[in-house]
Amino acid sequence: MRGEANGEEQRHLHDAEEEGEEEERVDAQRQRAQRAARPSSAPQQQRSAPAPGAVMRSVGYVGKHRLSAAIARLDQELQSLQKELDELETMKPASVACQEVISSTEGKPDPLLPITSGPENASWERWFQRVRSSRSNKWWASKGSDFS
Amino acid sequence: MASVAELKDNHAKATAEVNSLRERLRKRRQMLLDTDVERYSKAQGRAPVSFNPTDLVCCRTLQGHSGKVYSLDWTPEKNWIVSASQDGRLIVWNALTSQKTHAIKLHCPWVMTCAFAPNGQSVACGGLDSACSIFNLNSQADRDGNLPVSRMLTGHKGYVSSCQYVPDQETHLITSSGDQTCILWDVTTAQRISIFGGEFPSGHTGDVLSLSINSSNTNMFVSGSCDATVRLWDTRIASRAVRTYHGHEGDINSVKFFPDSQRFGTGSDDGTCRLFDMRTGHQLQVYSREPDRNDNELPTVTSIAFSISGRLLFAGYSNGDCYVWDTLLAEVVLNLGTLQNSHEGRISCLGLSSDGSALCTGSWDKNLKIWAFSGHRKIV
Repeated sequence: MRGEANGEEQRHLHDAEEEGEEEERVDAQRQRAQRAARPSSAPQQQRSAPAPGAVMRSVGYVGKHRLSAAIARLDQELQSLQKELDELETMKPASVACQEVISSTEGKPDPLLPITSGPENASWERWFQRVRSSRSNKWWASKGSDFS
Repeated sequence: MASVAELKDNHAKATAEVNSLRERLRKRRQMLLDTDVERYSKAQGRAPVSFNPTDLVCCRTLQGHSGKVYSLDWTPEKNWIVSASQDGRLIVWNALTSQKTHAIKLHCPWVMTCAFAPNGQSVACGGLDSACSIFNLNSQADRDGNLPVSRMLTGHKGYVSSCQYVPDQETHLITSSGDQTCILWDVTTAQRISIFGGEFPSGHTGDVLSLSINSSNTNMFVSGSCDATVRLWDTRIASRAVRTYHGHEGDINSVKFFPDSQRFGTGSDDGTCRLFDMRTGHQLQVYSREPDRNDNELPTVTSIAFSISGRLLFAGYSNGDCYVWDTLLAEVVLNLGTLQNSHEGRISCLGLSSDGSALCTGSWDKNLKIWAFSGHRKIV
């Protein structure tokens, strides 16, 4: 359902949901699609925001169905949010995770750090060693023109 | 069925309840954020990483693409890199010798992402064709010298923004898409195994731009989206996201697991990088640039990567900067964008070699560059 260019049906739901929020998300999506898009021949994302001053059409059965589906989704989200709230009752504060982050960076040899724990691995230096080309018999310095 | 008026009323009530619960959740979470990584590290008296000006150098420039570089990926072993470009080609490089081992012309030139298979024998790519193409690097080139597509993974209803092979499974690959979903594929049969999001309520509500698979538990992956959230997925339970992470204020262009596999980093259009705790959902740190003195628009974060210990966070920006953040002290300790031989355009992608000894950056200047540590290293 989501992602389809079905502007008509979506308009009914927009009246009930926060329109401003929806429009912002649509704009972001359009910007993303535009950024990704190439010259006119590339496919564009189709997503339409409700036109300003759009007249509310008569809903009919399909509209009721859509509303019911939206309510069901909201109910599921309510359950999920409640579950998350319950989790937070016993959840440890951020400081516990911060300590874990610090501890995890220690004791791991890191070739890009000026000060690091061992053991050092000789292969870390391969980027600065003479390299034999697989295609030619010549040796050439890997340092090349990138070094002053 | 209830009348339209009743349904609308119920919908409005449910929406109000959801918003109220979200607010309660936000406040409760705020109370649990008793500190962040920076404050905690400073309280322990830690000093920032200190680089000499010539410690990190550009030791290779890989030239060959005739268009902007959009994506790159290293092999798990060897020193090979695959890159994807606006020129409609994938190039496979031996990063050590700078030589090109393969140049693959793509049917659809609008490629956005590429990835190496765990065994280094295949590469995958995807883009505006809404499909993911697989190429076997050992296959025979056709008369025009082009590698044939060995598999096409079709099914997404929008562009493929990112793809990654599941680390210990040659045959499984995950894609993220502008259609707001991620898909787990069986590469051998080209079938979709699971779809994450879309029809289901806890999916992203915007284009999905990036993904990262947990290397310690490959059943878990995170996805970053234009809806400004990251979602955690369990590949065995496609029906709903395990958790949703809020905090960013713009599209999330890049998401990467932290080396300890319990946290992940993000990079966004809001100009910040953030570190989140996977299990609790806590936002542990924000990495924000200083605002421009000239009041120019804040550069966006296009891509991120962690050094192998996690102490360094590399972030590429839309203005060509490549900040090296001290992850613990939230300080910029180096800017690769201002070093000698740096890129001349936006950094669009970056990645670490598997042993962490080299960083590769890809840019809109059509080049890739390899950076390594050439200074004096102190072992403690």
